Amino acid sequence: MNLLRWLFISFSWLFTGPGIAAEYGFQVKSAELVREQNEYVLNADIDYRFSERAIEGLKHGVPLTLVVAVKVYRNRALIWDERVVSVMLRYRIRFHALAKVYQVLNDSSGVQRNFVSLPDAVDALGRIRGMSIIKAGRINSDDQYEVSIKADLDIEALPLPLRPVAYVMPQWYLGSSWYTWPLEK
Amino acid sequence: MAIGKIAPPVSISVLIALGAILLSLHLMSSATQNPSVLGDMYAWLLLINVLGSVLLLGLVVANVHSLVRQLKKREAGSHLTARMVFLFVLLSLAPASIVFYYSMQFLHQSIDSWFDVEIDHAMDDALELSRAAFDQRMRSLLKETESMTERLEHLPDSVAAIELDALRTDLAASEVTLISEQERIIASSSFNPRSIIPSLPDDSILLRLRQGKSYVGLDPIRNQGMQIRVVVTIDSEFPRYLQALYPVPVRLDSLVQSVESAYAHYKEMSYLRSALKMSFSLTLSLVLLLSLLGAVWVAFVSIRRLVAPIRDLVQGTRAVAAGNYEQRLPVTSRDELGFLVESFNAMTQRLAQARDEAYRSQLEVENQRAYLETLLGNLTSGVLSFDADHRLRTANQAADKILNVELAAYRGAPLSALSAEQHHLVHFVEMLQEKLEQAQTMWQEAITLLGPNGRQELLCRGTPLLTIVGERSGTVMVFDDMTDLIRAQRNAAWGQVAQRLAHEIKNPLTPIQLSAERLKHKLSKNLNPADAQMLERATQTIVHQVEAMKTMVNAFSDYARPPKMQLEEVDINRLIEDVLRLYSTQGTIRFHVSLDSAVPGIEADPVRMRQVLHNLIKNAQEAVEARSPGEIFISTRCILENRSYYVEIRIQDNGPGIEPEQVERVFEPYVTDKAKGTGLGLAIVKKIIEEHGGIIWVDPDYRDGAGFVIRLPERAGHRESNDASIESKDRRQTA
Repeated sequence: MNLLRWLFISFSWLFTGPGIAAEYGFQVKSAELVREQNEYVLNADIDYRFSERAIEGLKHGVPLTLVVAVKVYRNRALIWDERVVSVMLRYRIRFHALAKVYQVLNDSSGVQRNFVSLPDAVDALGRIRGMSIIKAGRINSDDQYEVSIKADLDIEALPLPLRPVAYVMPQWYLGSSWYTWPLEK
Repeated sequence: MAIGKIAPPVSISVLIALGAILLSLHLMSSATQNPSVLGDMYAWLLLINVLGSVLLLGLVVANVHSLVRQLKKREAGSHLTARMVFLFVLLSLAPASIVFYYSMQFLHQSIDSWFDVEIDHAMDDALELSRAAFDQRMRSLLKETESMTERLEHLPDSVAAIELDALRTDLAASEVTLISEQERIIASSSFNPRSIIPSLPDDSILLRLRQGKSYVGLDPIRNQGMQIRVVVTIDSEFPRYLQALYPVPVRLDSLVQSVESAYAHYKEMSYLRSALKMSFSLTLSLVLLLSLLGAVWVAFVSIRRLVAPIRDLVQGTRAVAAGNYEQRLPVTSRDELGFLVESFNAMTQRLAQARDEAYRSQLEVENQRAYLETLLGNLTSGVLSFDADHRLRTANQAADKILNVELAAYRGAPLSALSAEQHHLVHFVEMLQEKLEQAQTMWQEAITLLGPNGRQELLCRGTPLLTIVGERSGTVMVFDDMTDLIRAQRNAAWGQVAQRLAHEIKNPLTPIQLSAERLKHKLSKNLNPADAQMLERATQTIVHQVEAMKTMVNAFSDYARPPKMQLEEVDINRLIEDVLRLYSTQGTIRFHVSLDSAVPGIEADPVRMRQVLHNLIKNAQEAVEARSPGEIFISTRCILENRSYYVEIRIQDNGPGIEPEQVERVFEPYVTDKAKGTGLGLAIVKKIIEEHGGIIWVDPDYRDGAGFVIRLPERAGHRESNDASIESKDRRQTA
């Protein structure tokens, strides 16, 4: 889907230009992969700054899905690095009209939390703690590893009528750049 | 252009691609209507359809470009293609656009009709009603919970944990949790023993509590409906918070869930209204665009196929008009156009056959004409033909020669033009005119001409030319120059007369001479001197005159004598040298002799040939007597003419020459310009030369005096041995 995404991004940039990119967008503030017993878990803080359009949609009952991609690479001297693992963590946020709360759901763990205010919900969304990524046995202590993480809004998860609009609107193209760090064993 | 010449397999593959695009279009349309099944593929379907549209647009643009180029080049069939394409596009675009417009209208109105203000209100009211249903209950639960805080106010944490179970039962809550100010769980009691980790209130709730306000709110649980969350502050020295979660009655819960999900869906749809319109419009537009582009492209391909035979026919017709009858067109269909193409092929084939036949006939006519011309050209008789208007149509070379006119210049001209310019032909033309106008059948006429060739006796025979239907289309006339024939007949008659005359005259001459001498002999002694002298003179005169008469009769006899030649091989050069030896010692005349050693021997009577040379040299000698110095040029050479070898002898002098009017008659007997002589010299020369098969004529190119040219045929059988030498000589002459 990446190819398609880039196609649409470049297509939409043709129309709108990159000018207003600074007001919204995601950023990985910090991330670490730490060993807990026999596995490595992810702790990360992601700053989700949604565009006005996305927030408007959310308030009107459009659920937003966020995909946090985590990839672990084993460094190799001569050839390209080996991808040891690639995990997609899916989070969903939606507004519950009756309860007037924002529901944040971690698809991977099945945990759902409700928040009265949107900033709290967004904060909770960006705070990832103890997500299991890889078994410790798969990490060789002699090798060097690199971990990359990025977060994106999943346009494909939007309601279908919204997608043609979202394909060509930069305000719906929300995502962070890759955040990469060496794995500390 | 490559696209313009799409072969069937390519065309089929493109049609398959078109089918694929249409399929994806259908899927996209299905996805728009029912997102659950094909929703994931939507982006790809959209992309495929957009690319399909671009591909089709490219094809159509390429076809239009190609068509425009063809129109500019005025290629065959391009106008028809353009007209048909235009018509097709117009016919397909107009209804499609109308349907599109009304579909859009209908679509937009339909979508708008879903979202009514009343429904809006109803939905809001339903939600409000749902909230109201909870409000009373929430308020009472809040009061109940707040009232219970007193039981925990002064209890230390450890005791409070024990109290919680009783509290939960009293409150009829599903879960009760005691939370410290630092947001740590002090104790928790749950109805559900599996729920190990209690659900904590979020920061904003805690903030609210710190400000001294209690919290009560609905709390949706994943897949389990609703619960009511109540959080209150326990007043004490160390503030703590008590959170109680209450279950909602099942019936109420399901009703509220239903209202909430409907409201959420309605709100979402309402929010997505414009997006929905856009996505439907996009799908509809893509359907229209793809259908139209596909139809236009298919129209291009099919129209081109349809027009192909017509284009071929146009090109074929042009080729036929330009004279190329070999053009055959491919028959691609069995319909009316195919029939037309077949007919065209049959027509060109027939044309080609007709042309070939005409060409053959023309060739035959040409051959016939060439044959006839050759025949006419080699005839010694003159041939003239006239058309129905008495204009000259053909004339052969012999006619030119006999009439001494370039008749080709008068081809197509009336006869009057000929007589107007050629005065010597006036009588001839008059006779001809009369015959052409009057003669109905074959005619014959003798006519005498006086012209540059002298007096000519012509015998003319004419025949009217008739067409197949019997109409008169002209006249052909054949005429011969009878002058030489008549002259030969006259010469023969002369010969006979001369012979008889010589015989008759010669016989009495000897007795007359003898009688005169006898008279003189017998009577001179008996007469007186005066009479004797008179007798002497008289007899002398008789004897001399008889002698002169004898000489004359002898000469006459020589001329008329029938040929009795003693033929032997004669070297003409040596003969000339022998004859010249007699003259070289006489007088002051200078002889210039140029004898060609390559001249072959001829078969001739040496005595007669000697006489010829004597006669000519004597004539020349007499002609140049008055000149100082008198010069005589004698030359021999061998020439090749009409594949035969001839010995040519030229004798020229620097005397006064021959008068032009005498040139033709100089070889006739008794024609002379000399005071003495028999007038038979040149006549005898001509006779002897002709007896040897040769000819003699006055050299017209020599103007310094009189010049004669004799041409004698080479001796038979001599060719083989002398071939090389003669050829070498020929080459020399050519050089």
